[in-house]
Amino acid sequence: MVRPEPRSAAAAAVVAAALLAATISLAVTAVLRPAAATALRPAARAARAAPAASSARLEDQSSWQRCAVPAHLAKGQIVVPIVVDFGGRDAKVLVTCIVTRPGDTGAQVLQAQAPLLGYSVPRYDASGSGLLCAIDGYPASECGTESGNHYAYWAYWHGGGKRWQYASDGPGEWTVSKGDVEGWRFEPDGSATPADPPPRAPSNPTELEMPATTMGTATATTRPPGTAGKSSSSSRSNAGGGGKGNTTLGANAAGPVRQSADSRSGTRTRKGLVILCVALIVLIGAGAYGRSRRKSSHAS
Amino acid sequence: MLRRRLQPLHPIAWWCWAGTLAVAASRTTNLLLLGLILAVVAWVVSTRRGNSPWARSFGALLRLGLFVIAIRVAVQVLFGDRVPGDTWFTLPSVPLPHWAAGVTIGGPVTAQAAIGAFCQGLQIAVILACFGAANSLASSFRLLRCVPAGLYEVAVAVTVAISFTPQVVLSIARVRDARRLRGRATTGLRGWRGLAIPVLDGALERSVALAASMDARGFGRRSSSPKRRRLTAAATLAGLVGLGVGLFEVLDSGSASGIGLAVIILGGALVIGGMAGASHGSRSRYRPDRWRAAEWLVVGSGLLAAGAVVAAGSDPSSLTQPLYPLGLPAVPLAALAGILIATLPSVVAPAPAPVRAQLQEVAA
Repeated sequence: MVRPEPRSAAAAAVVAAALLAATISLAVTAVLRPAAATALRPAARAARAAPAASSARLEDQSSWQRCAVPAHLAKGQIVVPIVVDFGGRDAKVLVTCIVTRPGDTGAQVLQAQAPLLGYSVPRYDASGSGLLCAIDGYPASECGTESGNHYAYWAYWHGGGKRWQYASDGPGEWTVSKGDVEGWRFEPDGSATPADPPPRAPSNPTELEMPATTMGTATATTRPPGTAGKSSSSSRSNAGGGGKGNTTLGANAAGPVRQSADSRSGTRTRKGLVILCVALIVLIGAGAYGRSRRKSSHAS
Repeated sequence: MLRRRLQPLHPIAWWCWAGTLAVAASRTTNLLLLGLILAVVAWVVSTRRGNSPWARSFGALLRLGLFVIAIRVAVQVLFGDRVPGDTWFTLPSVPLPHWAAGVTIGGPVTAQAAIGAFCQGLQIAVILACFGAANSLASSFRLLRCVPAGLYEVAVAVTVAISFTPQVVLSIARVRDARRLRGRATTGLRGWRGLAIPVLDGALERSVALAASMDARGFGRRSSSPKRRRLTAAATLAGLVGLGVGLFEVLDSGSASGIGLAVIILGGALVIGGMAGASHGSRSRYRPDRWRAAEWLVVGSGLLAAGAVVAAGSDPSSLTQPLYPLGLPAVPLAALAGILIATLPSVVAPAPAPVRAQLQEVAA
């Protein structure tokens, strides 16, 4: 006598439904995803080819300055130089030494650079695709503007060796270790391939860092994030101070921008409106639920 | 008068209403807008669905939507792009070789990644809920009766499939019960073999019976020459493909929508031409669904809702969940009011017929 096994049948049905739902959800997410953003992300394309331009062919050697390394590092801390090249012909190249920990992501290193120099934090694509739009507030509002087959975008480079390597991953995936150099270059007319020009600074940390002993004045010592000097000439040689605060990431380290009373009251009215809306949604939803419950109890 | 009151809303009106709300949902990841669309759809379904078996599809698709959200968030957290932002926690990660760049297993999970994935999952869930609402509110049999003559063959196939599937399920259950009573195997390979033959046998018998009854009712009657029929069918098919491609182009934010619009217009013209060419012979309908003022109001309310949301898109930040920095969603009052208008069908659409009338409808 074979006993019926409704449970295994139900399990099979659930698994089949799960597979179906997973396929549908993946297909729909693939369709809904903004195509431009995926095409642009360096992470989406594996950069197997070697970079065409090497650091030996620097366009302008004098446009960068070394960054100072703090004299004392806490245990487990490392210094990662980050090169931010603004791309244009006479554009500045910022070299900043960031004190961080091995295993922190490239995004965290980049995030720590802006408050040190007094710039606004990196801006990412609003849709949450992870595409980096702006570093240090540049460009002001565009995000990977497409013209023909070319994009105006921030290219991500890994240094540390003899030459810059075009990143095949995003800054949120890459984790830094000792001897790494992070490179960013704005490509006003980029192709989103490894053929785009690398940052105009050496990729070798020893050529970028200024040893602690040669540091002269106190201007290069620790400054709390958010109060750093505004002039780029002094900040260019500014050290990434030794404090832990420089490496932390979050809303508290995010803004040198102070909220005005006006915008604060605007936030309050918006909060009120949001609460009102949520109450309305809950009310309608509860009404619908109650009605359908009543109906099904009538039916049975 | 009584029949007029009992006649349910035209199924195409329900589908248009649900479709416009789905379009509205596809334009936004704003949690408030998505939540309100979901609430409005649930409210209308709760007030205007009948007691028919397909009226339960809304609940089923709601559950499927929950599942989609869970899968979307889990895939993002486990394998998704490591989106930068405020780290919540870090999962142990597996280093992958260079050629697998872009795919990750584990790693830091940021608030932006999780909330962005949730918003996208909710968007899909709301679109699914709109689809489920249309299924709950409109009888699929009535909808198939409205299919134009150009799609006659397809409609017949779909009708047979829709009526066939539940019967197969019932038939499987019946054969299983019979085998169980006789002490035969109902699971495993042997069980399937014993099951397949009687079920297939029954299906064939039913198909022959269905074909005979359809033949007796005048299905399969050809009114135009085969050449003309082939031409109109080709035009309709090409037009439908054009409509699909054009819709994709328009909805995909990455591509230029000018080409998509042109393709939609061309495809629409082809479809209309094909249908007009095919509807040569005359067909009579038993108790046809009429398009009355209520249908116009239902479709209009959906169009107003979608229009309000699309118009709010002139300020893109009002339709997206702010991620950098994380914040409360914007409150686009015009779009919210437009969505609230879409509750109109719960008043203007005729109330669901009592069980007796529904039985009549099934019989029809």
